[in-house]
Amino acid sequence: MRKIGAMLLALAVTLPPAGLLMAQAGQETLKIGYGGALLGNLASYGLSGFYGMEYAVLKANAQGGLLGRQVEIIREDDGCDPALASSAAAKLTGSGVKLVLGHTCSGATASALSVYGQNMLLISPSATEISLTEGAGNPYFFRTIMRDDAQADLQIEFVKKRGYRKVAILHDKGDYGKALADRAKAGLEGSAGGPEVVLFEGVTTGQVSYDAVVSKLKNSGAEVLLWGGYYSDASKLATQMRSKKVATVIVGADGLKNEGYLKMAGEAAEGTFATGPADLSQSLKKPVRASEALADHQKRHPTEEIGPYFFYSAAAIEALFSAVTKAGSATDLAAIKNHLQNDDVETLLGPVRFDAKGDIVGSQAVMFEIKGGQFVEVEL
Amino acid sequence: MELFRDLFISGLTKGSIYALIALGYTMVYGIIALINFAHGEIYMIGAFTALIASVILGQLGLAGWGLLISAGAVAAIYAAMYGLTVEKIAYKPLRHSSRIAPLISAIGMSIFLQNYVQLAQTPNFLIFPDLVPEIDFLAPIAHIVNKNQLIIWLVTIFLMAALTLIVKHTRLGLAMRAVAQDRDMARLSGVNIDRVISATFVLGSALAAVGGLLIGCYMQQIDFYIGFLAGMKAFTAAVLGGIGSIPGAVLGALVLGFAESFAAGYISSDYEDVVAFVLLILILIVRPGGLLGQTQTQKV
Repeated sequence: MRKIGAMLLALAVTLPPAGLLMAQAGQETLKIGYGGALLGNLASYGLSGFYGMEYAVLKANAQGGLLGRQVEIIREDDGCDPALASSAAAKLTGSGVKLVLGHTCSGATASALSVYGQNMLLISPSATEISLTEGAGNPYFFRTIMRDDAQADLQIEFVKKRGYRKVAILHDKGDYGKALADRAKAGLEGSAGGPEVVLFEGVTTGQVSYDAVVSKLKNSGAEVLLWGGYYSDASKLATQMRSKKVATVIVGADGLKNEGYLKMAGEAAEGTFATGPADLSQSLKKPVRASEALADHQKRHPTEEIGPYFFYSAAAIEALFSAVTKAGSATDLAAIKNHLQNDDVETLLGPVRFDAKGDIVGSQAVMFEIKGGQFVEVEL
Repeated sequence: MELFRDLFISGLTKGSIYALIALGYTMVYGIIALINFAHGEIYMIGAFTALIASVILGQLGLAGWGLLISAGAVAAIYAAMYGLTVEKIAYKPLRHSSRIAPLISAIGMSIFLQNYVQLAQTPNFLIFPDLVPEIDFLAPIAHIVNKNQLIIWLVTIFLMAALTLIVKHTRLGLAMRAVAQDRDMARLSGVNIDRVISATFVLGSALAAVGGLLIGCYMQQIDFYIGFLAGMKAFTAAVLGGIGSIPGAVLGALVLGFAESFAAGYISSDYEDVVAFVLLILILIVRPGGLLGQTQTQKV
């Protein structure tokens, strides 16, 4: 009995981890890293990016691979936790990877970047925090997603267009949430005669209750609440606000735009607004080859949603592979960077190019409203 | 004035929940001078058990108050079993070792339970159904005091009263007080120490589980991590009130709840925790034993 157990254990140890893309035998593979949340409560964001990458890589492999070699994905989970992200980054560096798709969340990306230094080229499909591409950041960091200022600017425009006079801004004190909130505050206060910010505060996440801040919100008389943070806290806030009959309109960003918010806030979710990258599987600006990619994904993972970052991730890989091919090397980061910044690449998202900071040229945020338990794209 | 009223109600609710958890800390400390850091996790397990029990019992046809009470009972019993097991596995073998050993064991137990629930249940947030039925007479003032808050207060008061009765007027309570005062003397007088310690863990865990159920109904979502912050705050409350003292834990919890709520309301929720802990430091400087604690004289 014990022998069988030992054999099974040996078998389990020698089996490759599930999801690893095996290359053809006898040929050395080209390793590309994936760093992001695969576990934890933000895993749905990370998996969305991973599926997009998987689609694009398998497609490239079917067409002969990259530089004549098959591409293999090395996955590392960071759970969107900055501490875990540094160890994930160290593992990726250690496994000889030079190119990484990731990371998922902004805080984790910032901490991973400090580990990578100048030895790794990253494209993130989902890290939106502004400072990642500002100042003396990593010269080899790119993203296919718009930055938070695009979302904050859209929120400001929304507040002005709808004629709200009193605005409350709350955030979760995290990298992503606070940056978003700061930007919205600066934007609103900068406009003369514009709406007034009546409340600006950070909320401790994971509290036993959010009553006090809800009371304060009610007392402030704010007509609209801009939330900088993720969906789990937003859903608690929404539930408590509605049970206290506080009618303030909630406006979040892509951290709120998650199925989890709909499920957890239930009826209280109705009428919430959220900015986010256009939902490319439904948007009018439907990407080329979208239905083909979608069908391909559904064949592979019939029960898994593609999530919000699938197309951004697939486009990132397509742009990256095109730049690598033109540079003729998967290790000469400067040459790859040069091609990413100077050549338009035809991708799922249409032609993609990056500016000097590493941001995608001309990507746009849109506003969603929850109607009938779904996020629906709306005009401002 | 309206803000004050709302903040008062919010503080009272928070304080009540802290009190339910803090009692477990303070009772265990009173008896064996151990800070049971796994106690916050028992609260979390109570919430998970209540969720699972409510789903099963709901399918069996229970509804309304019956469902709430039976889910609470299942959670309390199950969590009490966890508390008992934790004591047997992690603390009893270390009872005669140095004081730091069971403390480390407690922290280990806390990490273990958190990860165990994360793996065995889910790392995601779970939706917790609001099991508290509508209360008709509250409907017009639901925006001031809602049904969950009222139930939290009533249940907390009821359980405090029940606990006081047990401690003051039963043989078990007498034994508990005896063990707390002098363990060796109590043993010589024929008190079964092991059973008294187990009973303490059972009572404390059951109270925490009820807290888990109530806050689950109120916030309508739980995850494996909710025990950490709640446990930390309840521990603070117990120290604030004077660890080892039962009325002290309740008073400390209420003071902490009000301090946090008013700090968030009148200063900023950025400083909610800062105010709470500054208060703790100030009180400990003036009264090292806590609000109702006795300053212990060192025995030579």
